[in-house]
Amino acid sequence: MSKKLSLAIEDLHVTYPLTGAAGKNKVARAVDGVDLQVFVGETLALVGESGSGKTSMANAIMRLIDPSAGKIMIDGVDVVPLQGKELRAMRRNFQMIFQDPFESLDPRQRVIETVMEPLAIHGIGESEAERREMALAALSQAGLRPAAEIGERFTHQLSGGQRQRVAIASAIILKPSLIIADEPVSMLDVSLRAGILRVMADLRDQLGVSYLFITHDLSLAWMFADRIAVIYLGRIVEEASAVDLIANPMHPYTKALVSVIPVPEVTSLEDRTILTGEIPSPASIPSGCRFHPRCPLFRELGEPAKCLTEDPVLHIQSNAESHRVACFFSDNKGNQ
Amino acid sequence: MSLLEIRDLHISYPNPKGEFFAVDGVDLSIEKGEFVGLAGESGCGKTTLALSIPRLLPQQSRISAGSINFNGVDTTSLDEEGMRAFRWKEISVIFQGALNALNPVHTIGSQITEPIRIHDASVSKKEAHERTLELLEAVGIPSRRSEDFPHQFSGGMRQRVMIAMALSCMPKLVIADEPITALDVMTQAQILDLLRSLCDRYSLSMLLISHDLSVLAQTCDRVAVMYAGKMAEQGPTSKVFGYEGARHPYTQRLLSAYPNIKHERKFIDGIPGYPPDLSQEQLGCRFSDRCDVALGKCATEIPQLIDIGSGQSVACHLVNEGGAGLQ
Repeated sequence: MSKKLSLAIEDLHVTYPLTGAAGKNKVARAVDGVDLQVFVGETLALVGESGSGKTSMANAIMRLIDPSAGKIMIDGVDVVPLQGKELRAMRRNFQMIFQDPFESLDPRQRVIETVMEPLAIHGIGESEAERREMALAALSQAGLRPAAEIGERFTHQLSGGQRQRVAIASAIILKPSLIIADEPVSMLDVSLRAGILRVMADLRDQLGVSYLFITHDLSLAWMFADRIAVIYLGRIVEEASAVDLIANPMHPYTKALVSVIPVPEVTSLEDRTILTGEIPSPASIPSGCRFHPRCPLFRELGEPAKCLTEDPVLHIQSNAESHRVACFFSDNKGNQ
Repeated sequence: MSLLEIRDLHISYPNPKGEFFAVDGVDLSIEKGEFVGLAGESGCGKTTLALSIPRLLPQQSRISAGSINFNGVDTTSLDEEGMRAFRWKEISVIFQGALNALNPVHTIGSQITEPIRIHDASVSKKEAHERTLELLEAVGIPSRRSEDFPHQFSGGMRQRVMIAMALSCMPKLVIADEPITALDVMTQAQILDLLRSLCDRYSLSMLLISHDLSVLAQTCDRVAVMYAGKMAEQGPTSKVFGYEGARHPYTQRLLSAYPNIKHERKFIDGIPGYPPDLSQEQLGCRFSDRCDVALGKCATEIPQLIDIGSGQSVACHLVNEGGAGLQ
């Protein structure tokens, strides 16, 4: 691997203590041993259902919560042990775009103040005037033009799409190498999504920003990302190039997810695999392969003991080195 | 005769300058047993249109013209008392956001039993209870959970409770307002399949509101697309999403705003600009500002919804002139 890593996560664990009737001294394992790499200039989509641990991962990377174990290397530096000043200095390099632009911006601040704030915190720019210039440039880059005019508005005067662009401008003002985008377009009308994603794609192409793009929407991940990692109950179950993962899903969970992606045309509903039940609680992760209680392949193969007792690790699939799957039987069955 | 026939419906809300029309001359019909999808961006008037059928609109709204003919009765002429005979018994609603629509301090069973008893005094407590258990099983919830409270259920399960509630009085028409919006993909597929099968099983008619055209494509018999208070296009799903496809430029743009994994990968398109401000007077086609194939007259003449054959109708000057609208 000669490519440079922007983000390298090693054996990350995030746990939450349980209280009350759920049991003392027990924990919910929201992220349960994840390895993940994002190369410089690359977009990796992390796809999972709610409760799969994807937002816990984002929060751990942003150091909004403390992981219980593991390393989070950003540009080669493990940010987990960093505290105080060191962490603040490092924070310039990784920024986050949140899902809800109605909650993530201060309604009493002018747009320009919102975008300039990180510069002042990090002591960037010689003067107020210089910081203002930089903020205007960022607004313009985020597609908010004329920047000078929009900059004077209050964030509550903006539409959802414009707010999300302000959030993008605030995220890029420090010129980070990595941006964590947690469902950045899911709250927006469909007609506005393309505009926001286009701005993000331009930043990737022009500034070489790397993205960890977190979403529940596989088709959006396919469209936007270079690679996709599918997370189930705190563990990556499959990882491949975006095109390969959708064209040739190997893990039974991914197969089912891909089969139910709605497309805007009339298609046969026969080939879909609809999983029954719901994702279990991270407080009671099933034994063996955590997906076995819902797995159609497990039942098809007559409930092999291996799935009940052994925990499958992510391994390279025979057909392509970049395609990795955590399933004992993904190779020999179910790929017709 | 159709089960529901809405003709030239106008619904207005007051604003400081007078009033504006959220629904501005809309026709829509639903046959018995038909599954109809209603699509459009937020603010296009789809929820206002749908909630006018059981007349659950905010108080300041006004139905200023048009008719809503349900099973032979023009419900716009009914008073509140008359309307009560229709609500839930004939027309029920599955609301968006199941957590907010359920009462947290009552068991789910009692919330399903309640409308049965209110709307039909002849049903005994025992019968109502039995029907509740049956409904729970029908929507995929074990009947032993009828004594549980809403917070003990997941989002998907709560939406199933909402569906059971909507079916409690055996209505003829169910209106589902974005029933799957906050749910995961797999749960969405489960709920849509459930709605479809319940429709067949009880010969229900269904009006499914969604901003997501791809969801409607896979579920509905027919789709209607609204834009800025007017109907832009409607037709059988097989037509609108089929070979010749959508003909209205708005529907076409909306369709290309979704990734389609069945085709080659390409970046999705947006629709530049914003829907018009309905408090201003609208001349011409409401989409003309954002339309890249608009003609001169699009800015001045309002296009009528015209039948173009096979049950598909389109409100676009280009399509009416025969030349355009092809993809």
